[in-house]
Amino acid sequence: MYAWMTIWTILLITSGLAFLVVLAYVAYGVKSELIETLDDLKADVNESQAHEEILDQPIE
Amino acid sequence: MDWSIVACYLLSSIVIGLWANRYVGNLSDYLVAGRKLRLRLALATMTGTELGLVTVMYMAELGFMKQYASLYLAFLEAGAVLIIGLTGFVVYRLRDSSIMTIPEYYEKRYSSRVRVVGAIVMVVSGVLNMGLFLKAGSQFVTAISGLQDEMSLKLIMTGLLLLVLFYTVLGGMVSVVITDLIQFLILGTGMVIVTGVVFWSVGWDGFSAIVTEQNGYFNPFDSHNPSGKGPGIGWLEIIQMTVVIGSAAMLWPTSAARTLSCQSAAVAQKLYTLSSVSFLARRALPVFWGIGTFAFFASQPQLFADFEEAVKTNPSITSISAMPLFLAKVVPTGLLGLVTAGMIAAFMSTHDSYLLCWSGVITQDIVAPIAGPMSQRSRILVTRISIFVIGAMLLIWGLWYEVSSDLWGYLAVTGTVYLSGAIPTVAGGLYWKRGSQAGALAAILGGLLGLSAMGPCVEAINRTFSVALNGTYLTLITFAFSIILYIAGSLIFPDKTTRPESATTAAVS
Repeated sequence: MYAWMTIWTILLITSGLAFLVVLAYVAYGVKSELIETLDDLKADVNESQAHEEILDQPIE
Repeated sequence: MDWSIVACYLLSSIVIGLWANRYVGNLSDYLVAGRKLRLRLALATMTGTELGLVTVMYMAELGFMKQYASLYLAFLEAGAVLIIGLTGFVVYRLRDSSIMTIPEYYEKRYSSRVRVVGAIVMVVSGVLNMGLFLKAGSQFVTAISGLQDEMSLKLIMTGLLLLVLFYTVLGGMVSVVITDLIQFLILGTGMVIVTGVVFWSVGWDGFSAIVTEQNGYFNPFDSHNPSGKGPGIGWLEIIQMTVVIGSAAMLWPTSAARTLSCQSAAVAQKLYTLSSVSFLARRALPVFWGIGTFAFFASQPQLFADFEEAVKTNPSITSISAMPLFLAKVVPTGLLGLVTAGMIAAFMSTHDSYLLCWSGVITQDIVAPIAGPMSQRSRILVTRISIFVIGAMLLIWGLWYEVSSDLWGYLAVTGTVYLSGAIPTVAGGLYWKRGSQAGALAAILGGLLGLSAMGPCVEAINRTFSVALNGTYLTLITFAFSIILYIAGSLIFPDKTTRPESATTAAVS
């Protein structure tokens, strides 16, 4: 019983603490990543608007 | 105050959905966010998608019924995801292939027929799988808010689903990723708060008493559950879950959609390594709440007896309701609003990703190959219509179907229908040159045997053949059956044309 409870206690503490670290990791740098991603997507949108005919061409 | 927090959160989702629509320029943007996702964004959307309210509900239910022993699932899944992340097994090559859906790979490696058949089986399995999400969500709202009026409840759930449909239809994967990010931060905060409150309410002594005084279940290899609150686990079920969870970690379509949306194969691989933490938490923390719920009820025998009586007499209360009822008692006002917003965030972030995933497969892998060449604009339109159709089906199925007492069992069985065929087809296609179209078709169709593991079918099989099989046996048989069919079909009916070198390892690059 003690061996199992030690394993489960370690598992629970690890999951709680590691999840906090992941939350902090995402929250820390996600804003700049989001801006870069949206810039890339905006470039896609501009290209699509410049060549609207591509959107109407049938693709396999 | 609690409801105003929830309302603010819901309104912000609408604004984000409208705003994200400006960033959708073509089909790739709509389905895989233009494959532009960096690591943190991908991690947020992966966690938001896979950490759904339904996950929280069924894991808490397992924690309540099987206490510490149910933590083995967290260990299994985190281990599987970590191994995939460290080795890049399957996911690296999949992302490198520049495909948008898994069935698209079927066509590259096998044929168009395999793609269509594989997509149909995938959609059947996926829609069945998410069929009970809405019901589980409504049980959470009922228990945590005390709302008893069934019609009001149905209207709330319909409203939530319509909100999800609104922003998913409008902005596709771009909306989904941005809302997932917000939802990840809200639900993550909610989960940390709930975990703290549960620990504070039950205390170290309460958690210890579960095994020292209340016959709590802690050894998953023991097939007897000493608490008497549910069936035991045992070796066979652990093997079943290892197979199901290991397969899902690699090829569950919503996770694969995140893999395919990453900026590069290297980012996809890192995503899996880091996601092992999220996958650990998505199972371990709700189990902890369920264990806390068990400790709370076990310390008040009269309350426990009343709850068990209510489960027997009131069809709208099941063991799934125990955790939210417990939270409603121990989480203070104000925090309860934040927790509810967090859980609604979990509900929405899963639904949007699932809806987009299956709709994308319907368009790209069923309608387009059958209807012939279609423009990007038409494909986006068909995807949007599919999202609405699936949403309507969920509403009908989810609000009328009665949830069984084992929600996780239902999810594992429905997932098996797709996974048992997909694993040999994708892994064999990537790593075995002799894998053929006939083998792939046989394996995918063999996965339909997984339907036999659903409750009513198991009863019929046992009655007809006078045997004592259960869902665990039938799930394992389905996986074995599909793998055998793939190997035998490939050896007996090899492809006639010689596949170029690029067909296996590099066919996907």
